[in-house]
Amino acid sequence: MIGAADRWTEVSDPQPCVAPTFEALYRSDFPRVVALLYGLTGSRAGSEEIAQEAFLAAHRRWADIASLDNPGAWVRRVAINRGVSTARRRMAEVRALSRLAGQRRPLPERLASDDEEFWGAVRGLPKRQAQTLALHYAEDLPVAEIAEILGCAEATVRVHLHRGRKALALRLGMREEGEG
Amino acid sequence: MSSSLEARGRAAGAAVRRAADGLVPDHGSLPARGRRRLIVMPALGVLAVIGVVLASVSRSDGEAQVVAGSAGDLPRLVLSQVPVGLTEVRAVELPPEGSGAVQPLGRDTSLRLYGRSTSGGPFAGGDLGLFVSRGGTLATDAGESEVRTVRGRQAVLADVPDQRGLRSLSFEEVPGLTVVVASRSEDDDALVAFADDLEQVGDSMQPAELDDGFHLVAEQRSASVPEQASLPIPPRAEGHAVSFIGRSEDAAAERYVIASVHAGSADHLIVLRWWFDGETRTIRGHEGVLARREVVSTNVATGSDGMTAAEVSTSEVFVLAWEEADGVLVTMASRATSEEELLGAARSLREASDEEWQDLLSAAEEVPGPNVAGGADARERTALDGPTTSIGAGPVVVVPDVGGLGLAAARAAVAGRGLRAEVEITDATSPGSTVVAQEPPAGARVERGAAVGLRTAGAAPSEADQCPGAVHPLAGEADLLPRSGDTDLEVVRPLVEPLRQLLERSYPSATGVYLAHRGGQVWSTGASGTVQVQQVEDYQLVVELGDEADCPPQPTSHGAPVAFVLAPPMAGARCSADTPTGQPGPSEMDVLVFFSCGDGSASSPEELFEQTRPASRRVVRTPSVLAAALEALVAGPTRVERGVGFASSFSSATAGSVRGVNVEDGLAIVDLTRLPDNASTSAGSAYLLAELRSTVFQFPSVTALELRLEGSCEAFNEALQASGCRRIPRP
Repeated sequence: MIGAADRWTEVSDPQPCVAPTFEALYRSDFPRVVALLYGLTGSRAGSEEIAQEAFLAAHRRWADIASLDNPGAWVRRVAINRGVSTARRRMAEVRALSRLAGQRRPLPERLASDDEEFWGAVRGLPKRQAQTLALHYAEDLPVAEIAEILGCAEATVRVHLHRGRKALALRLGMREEGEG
Repeated sequence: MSSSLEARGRAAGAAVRRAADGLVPDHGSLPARGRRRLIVMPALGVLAVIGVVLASVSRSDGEAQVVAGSAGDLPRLVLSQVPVGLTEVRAVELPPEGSGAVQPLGRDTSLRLYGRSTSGGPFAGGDLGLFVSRGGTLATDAGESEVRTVRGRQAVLADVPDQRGLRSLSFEEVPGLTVVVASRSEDDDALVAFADDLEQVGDSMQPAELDDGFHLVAEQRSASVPEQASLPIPPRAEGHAVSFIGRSEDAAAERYVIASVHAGSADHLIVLRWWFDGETRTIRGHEGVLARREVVSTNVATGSDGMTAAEVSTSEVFVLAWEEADGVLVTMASRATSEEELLGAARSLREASDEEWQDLLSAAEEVPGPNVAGGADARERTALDGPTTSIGAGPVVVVPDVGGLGLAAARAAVAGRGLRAEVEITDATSPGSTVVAQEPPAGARVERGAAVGLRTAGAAPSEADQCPGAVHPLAGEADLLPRSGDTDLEVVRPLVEPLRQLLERSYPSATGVYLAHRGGQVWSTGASGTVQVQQVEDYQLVVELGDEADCPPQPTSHGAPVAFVLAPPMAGARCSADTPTGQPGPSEMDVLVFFSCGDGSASSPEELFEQTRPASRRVVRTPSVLAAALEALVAGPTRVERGVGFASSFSSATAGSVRGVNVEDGLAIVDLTRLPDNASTSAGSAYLLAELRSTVFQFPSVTALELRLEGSCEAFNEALQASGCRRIPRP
């Protein structure tokens, strides 16, 4: 679920406080959200699209979102909920528009990343696991924050991380733990 | 070399973060046409979203601009920032007047403007405008008018509509030559006296002598006439102009910005200031004029149910003009923007390179002009009578490539360019006929309205002929469907008729073919019958076939209505609802309601739940926010929201059906008086529950939900073909 602004609090007990500006959040988090989505979708343009939409959604109701503890988490939740199917559709749209506009130059689809195999394996995981691992690797977020974004318990995140890593290691033919 | 998974993952993560890091320079850098871009303009502190659909210039370094400028010797100015929500930009060069290539922007009119000399500006002591036009009149039947005799002829005295205090006197001097005298300062008798003293000089009119201290302040030969509901368009006689228009996807809430660069003198600014009672603004270091006015527009739309609805909306139109350089004027007009947005766009002008310019013009050429499709959209734009008639399509158009297309698609493509299709059919019986030859060839430039010959070759009859339900009649006709980028009704509309004909051939009992603009109607087509969903390219075609699941009605054998709903996916703004503007008043508040935004891909109630999207409602402030949100929810999405992809079983039919809402110890009990008709179907109930859950559980204090119908939890579940009473836990 998205947009879970706490309106009970807002109505009964308006709290004046210094809200972060949208611009600051956009500047600091936009590239990171794109990186996160790229890990999940493998499409640069699709990632930028969804990131744009997530930020646009935040911008539209910034008055609500600014009062959240972590507006960035809200944006990420919106972004990953739009998910892979959206990215795929967006790419079809971009292609169609390019066709319509007679544009010859296709956009670079890949974000410079030399480990497509890794992200491909992540994308092959069940949805929740893939999201958890993308938040973990691409965003390098702590478990607590991942839990906040996914709207689940920290323990659940750990389970997803554990299972996801196991599956990933199997797919990539690697050991799970570091060499020390 | 072996490394651990964790190390590899962290390295891969760091790599994408590094690569993404450069994505937000100061003005945003997202490339490509047809994409929504969020742009932060630090200098202005304004956010802009540019959805450059067709005429932006996209360079390989990823920079994209919206370009505005002009032809001839005039500078080609680049408009690099456009206010939020504008998604379409089109450009055209206007050839010099007299070439016959475009309609004159205004009537062939001259304007002389007289003022009394005082220290407070040219018009502080009085003003008098004299329009002389061939073939036009400013006389209006709006409001009260009075007939006087001037120069032995009947003349009409009236207030100029929408202009503050401007009084006009108009008469026909000789057939076809209309004279209008207008003033804010002079009374009716003075206007009549001024008109009586005019004398004819050639085919124009001038005062024989000026008294009362009046002197000529400004003169525009061949000025356009700022008629009612028209924008002041730059004078045409003195040069060329190029206009760009950005429009919103939603015609009812149309916003636009037009920038024109044209030759002209400071007289144009004086005329503008006078006509619109404009204010002085400094733009790009030049003194300019800002005029504003309210424009009321009526938007007539035909819904998927065949009903037409009219929406009347009022918005503010701004006109901003200044002299950019000696003899070079820039006029910008915008609707439903803020003054700041327009000024911000004006400040963002910069000169374009030749390459950009050519790219822009060729991109605009690819697009069927907005005036080609006609219909309601064309009518709406009468407010922009001048520039839009020439935007996007001159009289010369490029013949599209229709080889290999289905016949209907080819016809639509040809019609979309304003051309006539002349078809030589070799096999009329097959809907799969494809075009094997065309004349003139693709890419040829021909006059608009010219004929394009199409020759078809029949394809083998499809299985659809035996059983239309088994093989979709459009299976071989993907080209007939709008592309997913074609969210613009103007592009899509020409496709409807051929589509209708094709489907009617396959389904003779069909009562209609409906094209749902960007989804939304899929699940509201009815609850009783079988719904088949088929993926055709990236469009979703929903065919409701009544009771017969496997084979749809055969010709004459079945009377059941058949409806087709095309639900193309959204481009850009899918399920993004407008937020009420401004802060809610003291007695108001905004609540969120969640409607479905399914694309048909959801396979479980959980996915449906995740696919709900919020829409905002401004409601009367009440202590029970949850009740207010539910009241708003059961009234269903607005027409505009359905247009952008929101779907819901709730509609005006269920409005006011909240019987009671009670929250105790985290348990919310929601009691309804009636449910949507399709609540008993599996799809209908899933949507219903998803929307109710999303709307209720947006409030963190609610931990569980119990739904009741007329006070009974069992009745509710029974209506949904379930049994017993269950409490829905917070997800």
